Amino acid sequence: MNMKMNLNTLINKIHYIAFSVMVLFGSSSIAQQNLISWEVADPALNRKFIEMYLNQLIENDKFDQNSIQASDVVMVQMQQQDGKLTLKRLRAKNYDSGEYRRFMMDQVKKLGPDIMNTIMDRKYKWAEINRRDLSALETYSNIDNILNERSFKRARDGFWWTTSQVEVSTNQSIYIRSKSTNQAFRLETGISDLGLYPQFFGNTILGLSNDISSTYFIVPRQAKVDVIKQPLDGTFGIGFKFDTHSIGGQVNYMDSGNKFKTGKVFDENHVVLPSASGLVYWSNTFAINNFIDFSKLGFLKRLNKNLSGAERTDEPFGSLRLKVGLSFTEFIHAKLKPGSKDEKEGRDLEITDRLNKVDEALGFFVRSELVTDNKKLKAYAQANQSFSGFNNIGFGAEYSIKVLKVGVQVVNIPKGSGLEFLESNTNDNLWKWYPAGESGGQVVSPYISFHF
Amino acid sequence: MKINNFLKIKLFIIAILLIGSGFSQSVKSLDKRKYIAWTVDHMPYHILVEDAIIDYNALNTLENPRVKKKSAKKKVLILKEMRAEDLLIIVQQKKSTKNEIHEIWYGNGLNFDVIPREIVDWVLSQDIQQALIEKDQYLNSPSDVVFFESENQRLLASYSSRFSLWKQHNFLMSTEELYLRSNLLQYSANFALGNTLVGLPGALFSSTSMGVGTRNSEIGIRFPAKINLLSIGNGLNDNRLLREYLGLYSKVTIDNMFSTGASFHAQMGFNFFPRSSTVVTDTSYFRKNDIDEEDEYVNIIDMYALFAATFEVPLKIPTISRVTFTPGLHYMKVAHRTKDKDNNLFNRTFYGYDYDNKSYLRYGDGEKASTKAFGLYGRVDLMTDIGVIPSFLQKYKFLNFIKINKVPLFEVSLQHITQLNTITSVAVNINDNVSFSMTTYSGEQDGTVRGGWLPNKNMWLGVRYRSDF
Repeated sequence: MNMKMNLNTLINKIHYIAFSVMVLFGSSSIAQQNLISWEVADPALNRKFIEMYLNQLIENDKFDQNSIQASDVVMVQMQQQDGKLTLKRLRAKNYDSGEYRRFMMDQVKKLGPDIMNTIMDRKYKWAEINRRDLSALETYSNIDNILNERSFKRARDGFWWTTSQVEVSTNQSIYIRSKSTNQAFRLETGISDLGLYPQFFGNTILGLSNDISSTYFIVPRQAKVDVIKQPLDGTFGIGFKFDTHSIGGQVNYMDSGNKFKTGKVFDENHVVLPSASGLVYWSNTFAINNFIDFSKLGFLKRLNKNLSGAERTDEPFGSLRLKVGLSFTEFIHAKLKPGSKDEKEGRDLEITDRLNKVDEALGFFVRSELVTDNKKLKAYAQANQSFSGFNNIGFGAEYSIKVLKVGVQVVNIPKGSGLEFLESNTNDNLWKWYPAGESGGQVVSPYISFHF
Repeated sequence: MKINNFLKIKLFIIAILLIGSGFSQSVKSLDKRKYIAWTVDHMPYHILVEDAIIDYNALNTLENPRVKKKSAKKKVLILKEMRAEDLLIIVQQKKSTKNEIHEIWYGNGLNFDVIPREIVDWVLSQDIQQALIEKDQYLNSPSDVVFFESENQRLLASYSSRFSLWKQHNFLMSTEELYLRSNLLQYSANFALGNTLVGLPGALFSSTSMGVGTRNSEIGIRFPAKINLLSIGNGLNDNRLLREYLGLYSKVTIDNMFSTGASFHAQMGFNFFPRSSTVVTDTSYFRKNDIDEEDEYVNIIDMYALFAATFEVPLKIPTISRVTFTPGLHYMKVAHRTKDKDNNLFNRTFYGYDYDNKSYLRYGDGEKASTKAFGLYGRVDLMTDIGVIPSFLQKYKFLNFIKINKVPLFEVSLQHITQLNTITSVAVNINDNVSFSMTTYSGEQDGTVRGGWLPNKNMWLGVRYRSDF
């Protein structure tokens, strides 16, 4: 008896579990519905379908109730449910007025299976539909259209190399880019991402780049700008750089064991060299809408009547890329060892201090880059701040007029921004390097570029 | 007569088999002169195409009664679902007046599916096609997959070279490295215990490196950790290498440099070490300052760099499927120091004493306490046919445990850096996932970097496991 009861209980439990499983699977099958929506992009098919529909209305004397025009575009929505595919909604979109119109479905059904199967088969050119179209189809999506998601390259190419094939600039940069192989020769001055701007770090970067990575030689050259009191020195070295949609970085090394020629360093007793450095950053790219009504700026209209995004619209007109990262730069202080005053003969460095501990060499890097979709305007703003006390801010903008680009770079070195070194190996005296003097300074560098 | 007929039948069957095997190796290929092809490395576009194929299949599925009727007349092409890890290759006709996609290939290794021109418009919207064809607007890389004429070429191309930063499999663990790759994020994490390619295997690398990699680059940190697995030999002398300081490293690859077929590889690394104020010019300093014996002659790899280009040598050797040659330039700078009990460093200008001449052996004139070693780099890599066990080994039944399909049985390399060392390596793949290797090291006598901190000889045994997860 007891055993029978247990058996009954067990059977009941099995029934309960089976019912639960059925409910679960039943509900999941209800949930398994998928909507596929598109717009017919084949003009001939659009015309044919709407003409057949209009003829059907005329035939059935219902043309008076019609609002659909022959120039409208058909939008289709199919529903996939329980392994079956059915036509859920059909709309006509008028691009001129932006209106959506309903078909009379009882009339559509009379069009015959051939044309309906053709429409539903989607064996023709078709186009994506946007969120507004979806709402016309009484469907709401919380998924972003990936096509609107900005590829980082739109903003990146303007700063990584050039969007042209050749670009030569008075800001001491040259790019020769082979579009067929996606490789380029690159000549730049300074290592701007690390805050070592050409205005006070004149070393030339000679490199070979592809879409993701770049390898380059660093060739010493002195910067000569009036505002800068003491530029950084440099020597021969190498560097690698890479940039992808989310992560980028670079590593640079200059050999302080090289010979330095008399007269080729700014101050023989105070040689300051960013001998080794690295940077890693995270980045993201956003589409930006036209938040400023450029149409109200008369001079911009005169400058270029075709400036894309001049009229305020909801459509994106540019890409904004944000980068945030950490840098690590070893600065060394040295003096030239006594030697020949012959300018052709090199002399060794006597290194007196190396700033390479974490609390000295670590720094933060923030940069934003903006490029308009028509590639005519680009701008950037960047801040570098290191624990050692060396900080700077840079920003710039560039506008393209046919083969000419006009731009300006501004580097601001705040008051007190500099580095503190041990002056000598024999005493503990400190010496401070302030690139623009203790009170800081600002360098404004206009430039022009030619690109083809 | 009967025997003759039997022979004829046998020959006929062999001929059929040979022809069959010949056909089985040929694959669909396109003419390189007429088309260009590239892989889509921008993941959002990859996802768009994945979804488009699912939708296309849904619209043409046989479960759809409407299509069933039509399918009786004409067979509908159902596409294989595209996976996240599949390569997506866009093919465009060169010099075509139409700016359109010719074909879309997707797959991996040997297996690629093709969306032909006729149905590209049905599968992909005009918007997606427009986005995909504008390759200047997203991340992509050139692809040769569609031009390979045989399975062997495809296998060879997908088989990673030692210089590849983007490995064939997304998981690799060996006695030298750990490599993990995310197919979705398109980044890899790398952990390396030594660096044979720059001539510093095992503990000689003086650091353990950990970094993040992309298809063409890698960047990371050099950690002061000593890990030396399966090293055989007692003359490693690696206790003369200081590994107390952090550093950085980076690697870069540029494939098919200027369409020459050669791949450019560069890598470098350096350490951040503290200043050293005093110069040690003789051994009396050791006694005066109570320097521990192991800290008297210490060295720091200040910096290493390698610039090399790999190209395939057009050599036809029986059972050898690929021979690659990598010439290049190698550079290493070593700082010579003495360390006291407070971890202060002192520039050391000598590495020994010459009892015959009664003078110290010095690194150079004056107070020179570092060595720069510029060397020519040469490396040859050979591999046997992929998936083939040479016939002379097939007769040994005890080797039946070897089952290879996508890997060569042997991989042999010889690497020489002038004035530094010669490293040879032999790897045996016992199946598609596991291999065993032996690396021998032979130091250059009177090499540029003097001071006896590199071994004369050493050997490392290795195990490698690679797979996809």
